[in-house]
Amino acid sequence: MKKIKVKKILLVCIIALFVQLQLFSEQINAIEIMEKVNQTQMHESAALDILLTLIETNGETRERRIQTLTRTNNGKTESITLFLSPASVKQTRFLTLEKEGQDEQWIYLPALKQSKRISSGEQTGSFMGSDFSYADMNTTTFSPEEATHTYLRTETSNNIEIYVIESIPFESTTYGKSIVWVDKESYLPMKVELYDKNKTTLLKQLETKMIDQLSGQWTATIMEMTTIATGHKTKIEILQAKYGITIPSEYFTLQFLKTGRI
Amino acid sequence: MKQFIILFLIGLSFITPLKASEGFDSIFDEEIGTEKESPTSFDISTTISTGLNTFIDFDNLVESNINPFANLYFSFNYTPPSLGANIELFIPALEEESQNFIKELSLSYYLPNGLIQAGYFIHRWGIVDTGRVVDIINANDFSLGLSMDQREMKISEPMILTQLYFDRAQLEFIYKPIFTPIKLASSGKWDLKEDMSGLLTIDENTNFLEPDISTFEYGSYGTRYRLSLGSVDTAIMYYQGYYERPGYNYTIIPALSPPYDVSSVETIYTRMNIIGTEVNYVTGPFTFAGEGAFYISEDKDGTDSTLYNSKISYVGSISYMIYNTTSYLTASYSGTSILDYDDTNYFDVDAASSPKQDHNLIIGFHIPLMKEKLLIEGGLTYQIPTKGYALLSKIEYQLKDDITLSLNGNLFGTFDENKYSIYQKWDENDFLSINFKFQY
Repeated sequence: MKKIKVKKILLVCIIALFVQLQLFSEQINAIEIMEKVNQTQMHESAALDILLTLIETNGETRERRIQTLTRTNNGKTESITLFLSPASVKQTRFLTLEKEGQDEQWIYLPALKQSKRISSGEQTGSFMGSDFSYADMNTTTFSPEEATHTYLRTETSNNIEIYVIESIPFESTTYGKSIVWVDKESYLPMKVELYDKNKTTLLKQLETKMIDQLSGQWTATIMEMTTIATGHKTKIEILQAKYGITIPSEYFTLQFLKTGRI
Repeated sequence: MKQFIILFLIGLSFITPLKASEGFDSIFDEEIGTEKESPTSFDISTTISTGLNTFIDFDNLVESNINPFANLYFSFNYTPPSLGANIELFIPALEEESQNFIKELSLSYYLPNGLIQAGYFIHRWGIVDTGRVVDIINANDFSLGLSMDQREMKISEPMILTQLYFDRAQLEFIYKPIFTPIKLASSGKWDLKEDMSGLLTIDENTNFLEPDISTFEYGSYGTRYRLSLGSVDTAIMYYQGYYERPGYNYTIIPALSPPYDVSSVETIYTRMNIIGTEVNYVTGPFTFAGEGAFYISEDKDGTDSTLYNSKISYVGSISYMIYNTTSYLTASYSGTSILDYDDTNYFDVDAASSPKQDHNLIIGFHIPLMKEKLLIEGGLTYQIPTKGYALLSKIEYQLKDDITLSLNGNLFGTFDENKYSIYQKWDENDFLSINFKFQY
C-alpha cells in the first residue's frame, strides 16, 4: 500500500516536472521568437520614406509624409525625422538621441525658426494626429528585456504559419499587455493587439497588410493601426527603405536640426 | 503696386512647388552616404488668411464695428550648396500702410561647423515659452496690441549673425549696425502714450529732436554661449546696445503753474550692457525653465531722468505635458526690479513707464483634440502690482489639412482702475476675430 502511494507521488512529481519543463521550453521558445522579431526590426542604419494616411470613421482621409534616418552608434540609437507634408508642419525636424536613463528629444519648428528640447512625455502622445504614438512609431513589440513573453499557440492563415505570443511588460507605461501574431518565415509582426494597463481592454490593433523584401530585409510595407474606441485608423506605407547604409553622423546633431544642413 | 506684388507671389507659389526638393533626397539616391554636401533645393510656402475682426463694445454690442482683413504670408528658401537665401514677407492687403512687411531677407553661408547669416531678420534669445527676459536682439512691436506668437511681435532688423557648433555647445556672435527702437502706436486704440495734457502743453510750436539712429554710432553687438549637459540646457550671454524704449528730455518754458508749455522734446536712447543667462531642465513630463538678465545702464547711479536706470529681470516657468496626449500646460512667474527708482520725479522715464517692482503671472495651455483637427490655445497674463490682466485665446479647426478656421479673442482689463497698466489702458480693446486660413 505504502509502495503504491510512493509510486503515485513519484508519478505526480514527474508529470509536474514535465509540465514545468514544457512551460519552460515554451517560455524559451516565446523569448526566442520575440528576440527574432526584435532583430528583424532592428537595423544598424535605416532610411525610410513614409506616408501616413489618417482615416476617419466616415472614410475621410488626411495624408502626412515623413522621412526618417536611424542609426545605431556605440549601442545607442539616433534618429532624425523630417516632416514633408502637410504644409503646416513642412520642414519640422525631430531628433531623438538615446541616452542613459532618459532619451533626449529635440524639435525644430520652422514657424518659430527655433529648436527646443521636449519632454519625453511626448512619447505617449499621438504622432501627427495619427493612431500611432511617438513610441509606436519606433516599435509596437516588446523586447525580451522589456517584458515576459508567453507562447499561446500557432495559427495558420493563407498557408502561412503564425506564432501567437503574449507579452506583459515589466514596467507598464502605456500598454499593460500585447498579443503579437508573428509570421514564422519573416518574423515580422502580422498583427499586434495592444491592451490597456488593466490587461483586458483592447486599446489599439495593428495589422500588417503587406510585407516585402526591401534592401534584402523583410519589411512590413503597409500597416494599419486602429483605435478600437473610436474606429479611427491610420495606414502607414513605406514608400522607400534603405538598410545598412552609411549615414553621415552630422545628420544626428543639433546643428543639422537647426540649420537643416550637414 | 502692392496688389501686383501679392498676385505675383501667389502665382509664383502655385507654380514652383512642383520643382521643390523632397527631404533627404541625397540619402535616397544611389550615392547614399558618400555625399556630404547638401544638394541645391528650394522651398516656397504661402499662407493666405482672411476674415473679420471687431473691437467689442460690451455696452453696445450691436454697434461694434466689424472690419474685414486679408493677409498674405510668403516664404521662400533657396539653398544651393553652402549657401542659403531666405525671404519672408507678411503683407496686410487691405491696410493702407504696410510698414515692416519684410520679416526676413537674408543670405547665409554654411561653414563646416556653423553659419554666417547677414541681412534683415529676427533672431531670438531665451528659452521660456512665455515672456522672455533675454529676448533682447530685436525690438518689439506693440502698435497692434498683443499676440500669442511672440515672434510675430518682433521687428526685423539688419544684422550679421555667426553661429558655431561644437558637439553639445554653440557659440554665436551678433552685430547690428543700426538701432531700431520699440514700435508703439502714436494714436488710436493701441496708443500707450501717457496723457500729460494736465502737466505739459505740447503743440505745433513744440520742436521735436530725434537722433539719427541709422548710423554706426548706434550699432550694437552681443555673444551667447549655449551648452547641453545631460537633461540641462544652459546659456550665458552678453549684449551691448541701446534699450528699445525712448526717453524724453522736455525743455519747458517756465511758468507759475501747470500746464507748462514745452518748447522742445528731445528723444534720447539709453545705452545698456546686458548680462543674461537661461536654463532649461527636462524630467519626465515636466520642463523647468528660467532666465535672468541684468541691465546695466550708462546712467549708473540713476540720476539722469531722461535715461533708463539699471534693472534686474527674471522669469521662471514650469510646463507639464499631459500623459498620453500632446497637450501641455505652462505657468510662469516673471519680475523686474528697477534700481535707484525715483518716483518723486514725474519726468523720470522709469517712473513714467513702469512700477519699481513689476511681477507677472502667466498661465498658458495648448490642447490639440480630435486627432489634432481642433486646437484650443490660450494664455492669461496677470500683472500683480497693477492688477491688470490680458486673456488671449484661440480655437482653431482644420477643415482640411491646408484650410483652417479660427476664432481668436482677446480680453483686457483690470481689477483696480486707479492703477495704470497697459491692460487698463487697453480696457476698451477687447477684440474678436474670425479667420479663414489657406496654407500651401
